[in-house]
Amino acid sequence: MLLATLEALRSESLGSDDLSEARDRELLARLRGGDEDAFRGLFDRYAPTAKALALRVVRQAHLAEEIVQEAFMAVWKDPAGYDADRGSVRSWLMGTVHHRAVDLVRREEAHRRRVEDAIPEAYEDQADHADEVVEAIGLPEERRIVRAALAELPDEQRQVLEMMYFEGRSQTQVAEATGIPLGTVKSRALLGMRRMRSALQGIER
Amino acid sequence: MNHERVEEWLAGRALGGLNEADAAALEAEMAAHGDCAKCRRLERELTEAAGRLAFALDPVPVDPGMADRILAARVVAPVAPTALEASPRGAPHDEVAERRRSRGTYTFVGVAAGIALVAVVAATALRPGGRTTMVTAQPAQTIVRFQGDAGHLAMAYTPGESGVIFWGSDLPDPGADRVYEIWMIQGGTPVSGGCLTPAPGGNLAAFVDAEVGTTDLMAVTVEPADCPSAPTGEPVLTAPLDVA
Repeated sequence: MLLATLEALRSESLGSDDLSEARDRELLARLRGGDEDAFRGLFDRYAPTAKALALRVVRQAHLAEEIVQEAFMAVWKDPAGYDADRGSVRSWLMGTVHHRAVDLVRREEAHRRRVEDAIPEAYEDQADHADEVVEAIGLPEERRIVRAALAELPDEQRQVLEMMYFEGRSQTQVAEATGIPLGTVKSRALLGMRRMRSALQGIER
Repeated sequence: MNHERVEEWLAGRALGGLNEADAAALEAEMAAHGDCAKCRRLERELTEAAGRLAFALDPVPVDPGMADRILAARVVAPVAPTALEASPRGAPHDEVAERRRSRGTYTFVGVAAGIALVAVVAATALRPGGRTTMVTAQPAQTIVRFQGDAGHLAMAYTPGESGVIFWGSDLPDPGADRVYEIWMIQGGTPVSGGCLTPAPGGNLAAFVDAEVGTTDLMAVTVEPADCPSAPTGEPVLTAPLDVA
């Protein structure tokens, strides 16, 4: 199965012999056949990162759990929802989680403001377990690369990216919160994403 | 087409922060432009970069039972259509059997949001002890907890609408070639709501395409795997629907 997946990767001309991605796609192929072990493989590998992302956006642990459960339920129910032409499995998974989290934030904006006080507790909980999970999941190199790419961004671009992606804010909300003109927010988002795209291309794991 | 403008919109969308007006403008531009290889490449690369941002975060442990719960959603055994269609009782065309067959048609828990909702509410409803409890989960939605010695089972439905979600835990293995069958009893007449098989460990989550209607008692029996159209055993779980 793995060899077949690698062949498929080559034939798709993805420009990557990314073994990690090959493994993900192999798991997804098995998952389409209802293989529970394949699901657990994908879940164990990415659910903790998905939880971190959801928690960062919605800022409430129980909502983050629900989002992760919904997202992976959708994967389990319809693994064919993944389109290899649109990117890697891990980006698809995180995109699914992020979309749900941002949707929730937009719908629950008023509620979110009421529970702002809960944020420090949520992050303490995250910090307590992070190290052991990093080791268990085995994605430290990926994290190092992405963090390095983010750190290389000019502060003003990183700020816009983080407010949009990690806080679930629209470009208009970023402009309002920072006092930066909307057009500037848009151009900083574009420039920041161009840099991230360049930094991450060619070093996909 | 102004690709720089499109790229700016795509970057905003990949980050989840595109304003509604810009989202509409992007859709219109893409539709007007037709199939564009450069647009697709930009979209793919920006979406990929955005998805990778998540890995800047330290992972956070998830509920260790979550994977089991998700897997249980598809472990539910569908009513075998061949067995039903074979009309084991010999009726060539039985409208009642036809209706039962329809009710026994399972859809694996398809609405993830619904499951998540029920998971939260059912976690409360499934607490052991006490008598049957009914609580309103959402406007017009009702949660019912079954009574009995066969683990914990709850159901959620909206009165007047088709569709019931069942959520259970600690359900004993019904045995080889045996299943749990749901019965909706109205005026002493049981109508099958279909058959369920819990996951190893006793968890269960299933959506049943049936309408509770004016049912006054829900019951669960252990039945042969062919899911008979009339109960053959005593109820192991019951839930009076005494909504006043």
